Amino acid sequence: MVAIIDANLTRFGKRKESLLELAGEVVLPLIRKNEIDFVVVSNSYSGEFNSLSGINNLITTYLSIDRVPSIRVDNTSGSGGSAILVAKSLLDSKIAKTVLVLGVEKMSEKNTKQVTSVIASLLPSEEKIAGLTLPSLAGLMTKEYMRRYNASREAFALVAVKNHYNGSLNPYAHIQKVVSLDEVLNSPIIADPLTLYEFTPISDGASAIVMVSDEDAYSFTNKPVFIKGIGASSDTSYLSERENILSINAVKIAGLTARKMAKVDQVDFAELHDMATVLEIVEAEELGLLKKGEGWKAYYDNYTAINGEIPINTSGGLNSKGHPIGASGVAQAVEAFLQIRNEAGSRQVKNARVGLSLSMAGFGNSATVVVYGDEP
Amino acid sequence: MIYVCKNCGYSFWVKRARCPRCYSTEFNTRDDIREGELLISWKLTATPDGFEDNYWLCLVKIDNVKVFCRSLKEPKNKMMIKENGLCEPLA
Repeated sequence: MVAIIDANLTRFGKRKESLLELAGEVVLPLIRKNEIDFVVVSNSYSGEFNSLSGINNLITTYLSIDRVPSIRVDNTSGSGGSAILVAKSLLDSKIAKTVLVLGVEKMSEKNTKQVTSVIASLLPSEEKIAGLTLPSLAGLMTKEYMRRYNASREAFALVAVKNHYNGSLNPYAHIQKVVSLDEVLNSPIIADPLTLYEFTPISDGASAIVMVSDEDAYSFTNKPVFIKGIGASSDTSYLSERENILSINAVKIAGLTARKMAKVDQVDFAELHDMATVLEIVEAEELGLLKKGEGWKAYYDNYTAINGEIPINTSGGLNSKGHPIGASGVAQAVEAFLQIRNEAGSRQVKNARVGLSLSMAGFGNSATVVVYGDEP
Repeated sequence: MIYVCKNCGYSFWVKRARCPRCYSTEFNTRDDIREGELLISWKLTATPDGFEDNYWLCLVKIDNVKVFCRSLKEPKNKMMIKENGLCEPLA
């Protein structure tokens, strides 16, 4: 087993700093306190967005830890979860003793159309040429969910209302403002029927955690957060071949694997991959947090609110906190770290001892679920 | 274009090196089937670089194979697949 002994975030948003400067901002406080012997960088699009390659070495040199070995993990939006999996493997195999996992992405140098196009590059050429995009698939999923389960349109907008409220409590969030149901429903349509506030903004940002083996953890801190279980799974990248657009098998299997390893049935909170509001509902159903086909009803009675039965995306989620692609999965681990250490301030979940995060690539092309706890 | 596995007859749209059912690497291609049934459509108004500013995305079933395409006209139950990812409603 392994543990997180330190964590940090930059403010997410449209930042003037370069990718290297964002990395420095988040990492410097951590490497002043901890001697790192391996760096895993979660980043997906430094080539496309910033014309940079080999950024793991550029970053370690920028930080003057030139001789610390490093690798870059790219698994599109799921890079962060994959990077944590790699870091755990490095620790379990004794290749490293203290691993820094850094998530970083600088996206705002491109306009919305260019960003949409870059992210759509994960689709096969036949689907891409048809004009399919990741946000467009969320529109399809929403229409099908409403049709099959007779769900209300408002339920999806309520996800955005809840996550923007949570984001308003998070000083690191990109969007720190509360939005009403009417504002969400009346914002511009992006992918019918979903509107602007139901999608993640285009963000810059960085996040970082320091991981060690669990037997070493208490020599670093008296409040380590343990990674009790981790599961990874994949599904077809060809969306036209999915039998059921409302099933995200990679999420379901990764969740089952992580929970089995953790020996955990219930969690106290969850950070999910809400690139679009519909995804939070469907993912929560796949992970067994909400009932299949009835998840949408939970958003009418604060069931998923910070003080609800199963708080989801207390950080504001990707929806409000922002989604700097490579930074998002690591930022979820940072939120879990803060919640379990009782350091989440006004977002604090009562008695948060066990949490879960879902880092997802593409539209469920692959997924990594991590279960965190205050004991191994 | 639709790929048909020479070994097991399985059909698929997006190119693969191996048949997902029997792992054969031999395929026939069919370019003659262009008409299909609209399964679902929805409008996209935030489109990627190099595309029209808005269009309908369509999931169309042709010969038991599901195909994504975009239509610049409001889709109907029967759709015709064109070149470059485009499709249009059949009159």
